[in-house]
Amino acid sequence: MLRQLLNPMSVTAVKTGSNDFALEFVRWRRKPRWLPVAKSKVFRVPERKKQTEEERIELMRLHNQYKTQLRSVRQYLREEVIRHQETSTADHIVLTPEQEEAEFQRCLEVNAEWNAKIAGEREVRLAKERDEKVAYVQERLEAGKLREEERRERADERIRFEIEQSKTFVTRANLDEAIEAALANPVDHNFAIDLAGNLYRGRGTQSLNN
Amino acid sequence: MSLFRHIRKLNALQNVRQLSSAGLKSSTLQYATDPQPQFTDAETQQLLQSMTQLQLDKVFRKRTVPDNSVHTQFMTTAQLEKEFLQTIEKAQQLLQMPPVVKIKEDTERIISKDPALKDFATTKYVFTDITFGLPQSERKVVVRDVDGTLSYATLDITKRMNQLYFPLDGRKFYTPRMFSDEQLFQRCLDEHKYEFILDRLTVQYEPYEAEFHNISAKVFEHLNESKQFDQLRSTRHFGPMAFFYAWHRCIDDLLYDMIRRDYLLNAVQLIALSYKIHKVPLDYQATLRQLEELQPSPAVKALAELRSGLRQHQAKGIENEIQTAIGKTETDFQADEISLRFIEQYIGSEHALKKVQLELAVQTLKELNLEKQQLYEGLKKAHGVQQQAS
Amino acid sequence: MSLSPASGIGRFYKHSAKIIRFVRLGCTNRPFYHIVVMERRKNQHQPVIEQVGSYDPMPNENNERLVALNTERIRFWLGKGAHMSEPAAELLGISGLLPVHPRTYMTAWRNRKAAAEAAALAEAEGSQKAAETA
Repeated sequence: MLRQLLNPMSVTAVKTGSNDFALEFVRWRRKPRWLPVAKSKVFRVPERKKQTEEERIELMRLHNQYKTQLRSVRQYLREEVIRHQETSTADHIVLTPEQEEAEFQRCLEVNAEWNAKIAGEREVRLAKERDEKVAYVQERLEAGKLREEERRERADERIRFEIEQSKTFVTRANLDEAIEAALANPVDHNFAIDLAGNLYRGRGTQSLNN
Repeated sequence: MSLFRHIRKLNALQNVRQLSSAGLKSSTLQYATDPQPQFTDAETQQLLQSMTQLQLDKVFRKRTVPDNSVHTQFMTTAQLEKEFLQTIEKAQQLLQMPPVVKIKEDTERIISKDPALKDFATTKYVFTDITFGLPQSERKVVVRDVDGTLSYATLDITKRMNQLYFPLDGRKFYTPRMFSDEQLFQRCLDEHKYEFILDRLTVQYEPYEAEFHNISAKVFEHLNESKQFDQLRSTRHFGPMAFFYAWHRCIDDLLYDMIRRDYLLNAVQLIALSYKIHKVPLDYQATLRQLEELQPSPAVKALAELRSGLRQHQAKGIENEIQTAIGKTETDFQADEISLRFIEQYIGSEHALKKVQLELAVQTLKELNLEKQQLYEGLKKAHGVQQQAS
Repeated sequence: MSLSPASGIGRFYKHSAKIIRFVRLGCTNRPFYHIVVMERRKNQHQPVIEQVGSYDPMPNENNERLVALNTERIRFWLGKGAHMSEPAAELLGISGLLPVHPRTYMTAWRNRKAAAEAAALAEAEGSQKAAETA
């Protein structure tokens, strides 16, 4: 399978669609892990670095020394980090009590100043709003008064009209007269209209004749 | 990418050639002692700034930078006045001089020697501390050599590492070929691109480096021969240039140029500077004080120039008109007289080298001044200004 | 694979074991390492807690190997009890920040021994050749 893969013809065929003209190298292609050791490398024995006894002892000595030194360096660095954390003001602000008090006083002053400024503005605004409200109420009151007068006027008119009308009312006193008058003068509300739009009143033909 | 590689290769070649020919030849004039105390002295600074002048047109000229855009805005008079002041301040910032300090010597500082570490690797290791927020000067760079020696890196390596890990804008990692190739450098000089060279020099090198001193000295020497001092006037390099000439006692050409262009105040200041540096027992301060009273400082002059553009529509007095026509006022004539006296004194002394030339220049200027003054008086009389004044 | 920022995006437990180690970046035949702090149990290509340096093992044109170390953060993490991988410990030892690692001494003496043997061999061969010609 590997041979097939490594065959240049097949590789180019796979990569470029059987076109030998444009050769493409695929350099990241490695041998997969599951393939066996190559035939040429089967009997290769990797050289092992020999460590003589004296070398071993020397290395041991050096390692011991190194570890001791590194431990002390680490200790120093650890203390340095702690010291730095304690003294550093990188991520927070450290103030003395006097400074803090002064800062607080300053904040109070600023706040008071701000409050005074806002209060002044509010005074002005409220005064203006009050004036506006008074003016509005006044206006509405006047408008209401006017409306009331108009209403009264209308009512008076109506009363006058009714009084005027009441002269022709039928009362118990003039009931008979009224009946008689009605009987004497029958009113016929029927009418007819011809094609020309002329109006002919009365059921009978008197008016036609008239 | 390939282009980069090509450039790198070219530069590598350059390095090889540089090794063979040892770069640019060193210049003849060097600062023998430390010039820094003299240069940073307040009086010297003031003299140099005044000599540099402040021509706004030149300071804010169009440059070969990506953004040359112009911003137009409507402003009230008060806003405009504020803007004027800001402009002057900005111009002064742009004219800040690169300092003249002595060359920093490379000292070998060994931290530890460990012979047991000999041959632990085939090459040396360079360690750079990239701790956040350190200035470049405090950044530690250490080298572990193949023989196990741990030492602080040389200035060269330190600079390289700084540029590698914290690059400065415009500074190149390699030496620009302009500075490594003698021919290219000479071509730049021959084309009189002094400001370009000096600008690039200040970007590429620190003031305490030997190359900085060497190249700037070469430029100033070439400039002294070609006499195109006006190119550097009102740029940040004029001060160091004048300081260089004063230090090396070759101010005569610059002086001649100043007299010819009628910058007499600057000429006096230049002479005073050279007296100051070489500790000549001569009282120049009184003259300077007199002149300063008569003539405004460059910043004030520039501000007045800006404001004059604003008040053009206002009616001008006849005296003003005469002054603008001639280009000088009465105080100017007075100042000229004082400065000419001082300059002649200098020419008469043993410090001047090109006496004949300077004398001629002074004579010409005197005649010109006389003519102008006569014209001025005549005009004044004709317009009856004298009567009004009296 | 995109690079994670130097401040790191790796999540970690407060009391988990951290380690200062290399992360191999670069490509085939061109190693480049980031020196990072990460959780010990994690794979090298997972997000790191913090990058504290870089190491270029290939000598540059001036025959130097460049190492960048953020010493402040390394000190901090070591003080916090971070472990070190062996190559990282060697490198820090060479830099002079920590004591030199024994392995470095070992490489040094082995290299010296190999060089001496090679020189002896060359000398023997030379003398042999001289004897043959004579």
